Amino acid sequence: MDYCLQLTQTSDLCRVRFPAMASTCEVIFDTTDATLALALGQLVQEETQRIERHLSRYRDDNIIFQINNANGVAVIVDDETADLLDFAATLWQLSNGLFDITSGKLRAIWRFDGSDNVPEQAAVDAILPLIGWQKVQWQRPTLILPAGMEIDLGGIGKEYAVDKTYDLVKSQFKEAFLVNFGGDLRVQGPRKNGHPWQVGIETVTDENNNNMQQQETIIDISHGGLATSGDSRRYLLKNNQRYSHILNPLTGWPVVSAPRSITTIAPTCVEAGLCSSLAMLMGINAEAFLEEQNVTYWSIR
Amino acid sequence: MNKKKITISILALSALMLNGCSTVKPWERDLLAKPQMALDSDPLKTAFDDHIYFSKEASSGGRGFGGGGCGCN
Amino acid sequence: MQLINKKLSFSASLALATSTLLGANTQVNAEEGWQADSAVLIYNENNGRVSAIEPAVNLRRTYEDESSINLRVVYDALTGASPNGAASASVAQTFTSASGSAAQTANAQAMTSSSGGTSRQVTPSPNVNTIVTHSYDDDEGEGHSTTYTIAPGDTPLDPSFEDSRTTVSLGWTKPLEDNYTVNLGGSYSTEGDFTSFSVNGAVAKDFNQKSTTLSAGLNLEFDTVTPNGGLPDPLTSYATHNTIGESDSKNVVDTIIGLTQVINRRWITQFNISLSQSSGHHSDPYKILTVADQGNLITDPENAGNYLYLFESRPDSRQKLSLYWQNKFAIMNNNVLDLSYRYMTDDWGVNSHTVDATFHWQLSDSFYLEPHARYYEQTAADFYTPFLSLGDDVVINSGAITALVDYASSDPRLGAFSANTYGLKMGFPLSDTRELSLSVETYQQQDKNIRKEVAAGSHLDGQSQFAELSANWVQLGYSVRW
Repeated sequence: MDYCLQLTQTSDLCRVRFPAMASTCEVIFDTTDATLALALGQLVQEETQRIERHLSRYRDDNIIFQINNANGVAVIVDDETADLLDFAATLWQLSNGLFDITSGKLRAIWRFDGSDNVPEQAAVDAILPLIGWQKVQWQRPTLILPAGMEIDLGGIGKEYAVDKTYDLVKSQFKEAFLVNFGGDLRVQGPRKNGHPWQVGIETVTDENNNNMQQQETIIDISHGGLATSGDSRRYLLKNNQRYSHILNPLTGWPVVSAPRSITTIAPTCVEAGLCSSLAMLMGINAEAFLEEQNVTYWSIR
Repeated sequence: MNKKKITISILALSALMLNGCSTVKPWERDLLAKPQMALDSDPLKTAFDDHIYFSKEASSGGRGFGGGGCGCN
Repeated sequence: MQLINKKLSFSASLALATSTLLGANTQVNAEEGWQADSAVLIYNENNGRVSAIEPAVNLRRTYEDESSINLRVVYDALTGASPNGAASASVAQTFTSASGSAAQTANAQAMTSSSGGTSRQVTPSPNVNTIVTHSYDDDEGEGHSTTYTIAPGDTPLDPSFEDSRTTVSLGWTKPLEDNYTVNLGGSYSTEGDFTSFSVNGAVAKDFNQKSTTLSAGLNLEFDTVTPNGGLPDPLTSYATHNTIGESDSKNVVDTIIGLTQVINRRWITQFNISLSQSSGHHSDPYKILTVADQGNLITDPENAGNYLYLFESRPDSRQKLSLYWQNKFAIMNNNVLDLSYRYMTDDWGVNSHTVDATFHWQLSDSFYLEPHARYYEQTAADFYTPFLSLGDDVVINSGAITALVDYASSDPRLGAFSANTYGLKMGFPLSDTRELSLSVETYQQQDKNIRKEVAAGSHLDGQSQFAELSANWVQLGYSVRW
């Protein structure tokens, strides 16, 4: 028997939870009407699962599979995929190549399991020719991916789903609510009692897994999206050098001197996620980059 | 009206601002974004009112300038 | 100012890309498109004074990069009667206005048509107790003049007050890199005897994630007045009507510095300082002052059979300083309290205070009320006087009239008074993109002038020295966005 959906009702809120996108997804509604929360929660679940089916690279029956196995043949994509590819193309340009949906191939040589299996430079050099959006021909609605290359929308998939389901709920629900897919959030507030939503940011552990940073930061947020990029769980450790799982697609290597964790708040979850990911890629300049953007951020080094 | 009181209130307000009353984050702009919170929420009405007062009183403007004078001096 | 065409910042580009991805439902950048606002003002003063109807249309187009263009056209049609500046007296007074010399042969008619070069038409105002006669003086092809008689005890109102004015304004706003915004605009306004042309520009910069905005602006205005009947020689006989030219001009330079600060989630405040320098012709060519000897009207030595009135005179220059402070407070989720104060002082001796309060009461998604109250008070200009006194302000020697003052005006606009406005606006949002509104306001002035003493039993004894204005107006508006 698989766990599908959980509805919880408290004295002033209703919450719906379901598993998706390798996380626990939840929506909290500022209402005590459980029937309404359940109905909306189911809509959110359907939409999230639809997005996951559409964009997941683990499936063999969706457009992503078709694209990644086309072997150099042109693929005509649907509108939603086209929108995402347009977005990815714009971001690739804006970030000067740091945001690159073809960089998933690096997974083959980098496995962040806490071990010391850092690949050789030769292995990295062998993979780099298969990475780079500049090698892709994209003219809506046709995508031509050279053989051996792959696209992976995992970098924005969850944030995209958060924003899409947020719009879905907002069109049907007039009160405050919060969408949280495994730490990627979007909120509509403030709540009926006049207070903002309160979100806790997860602590960061140190190498020996001691919770050195015990304090959990609570943020007040009434409006906008929140996302966190960080390496608390996935990393490699060799010769006392910690390799974060944020890989630079231009070099093929993890970024150095990046903060341990960056949490950003922006008008949408997609923007928050992009800002935090790109900031991580800036390494030592992460904070300087974030200062210039229209976001508020917390960075832990 | 007590000019001194007004001067003090203005100074107090400036001090408040300079002390860095908490910067309001973009996502906290929900109320400020409402049309009724705009500094001039009905520009045509403001223009009409300003024109009436300009032609019947000796003062004008203060909040910015619109366009055009009129022959009412 | 050179306009730099730079690309958008990273965060603005990201915001645009995201809103494109997420479609029209996003909160980001929902502003792109058109907005049309139309409104009509119907204005009416009590006691047979001015009435006006003023339709206006405003069209705004906002682009993806948040720049916008604005076009506004306003048409103004005024009729009625306006104080001519003479003092109310216990005897009947006859005046001849506009072109020509003393009253021509009477030709009583109800309506007349324009002639000569001016568009001045005449419609007698029914409430005014006057006998209006119209005559034609085509000797110089300048148009007609109007003779009217004011009954004893009445405020002299010139009933030939009718004019129409059209104003066109264009404005452009563009956000630039580094949180700068630039505004440029111009406008042109024309009525029968007056044209005005202005250009303005402003620059603003946002700080603290747009919580603070500093702005600076400049407005230049060029006005030309071409009065009917020519420019009268100031402080000379009204009946003689010597002119010193056909037209004159006035230039105004306005500068403004402003600070807008979001104090917290519920409170935004704005503080502006403005300086204005106006140079040129300021006198109202149609306004006169009564000359009285101990309170009695006297005969014009240049025109037997007429009382003596002199054309008013105002300085060639006027400097104004205004301090303006506005606050908006969000109350609960949808209501707003708007409180503002303005202080103005100028080198004509006028100081004023204006306090304005409006409360936006959102009763439902489709209905709101905005009660409004305004209190205004001003001191009189140094050269304001309800009439001129023989011996103190004016002397007559062997039939020659000499003014002892440089400037004088009895225009109520320059007197000392306070005024209260009370109003109510009703708004009916019909949908997310359309709104209808109706607003009614009432205005009442109270005389605060020091009474100028006159001899008991004289013509001016016991007469009003200031015509307190009462007016009402209604405004109907309709806005639509697409």
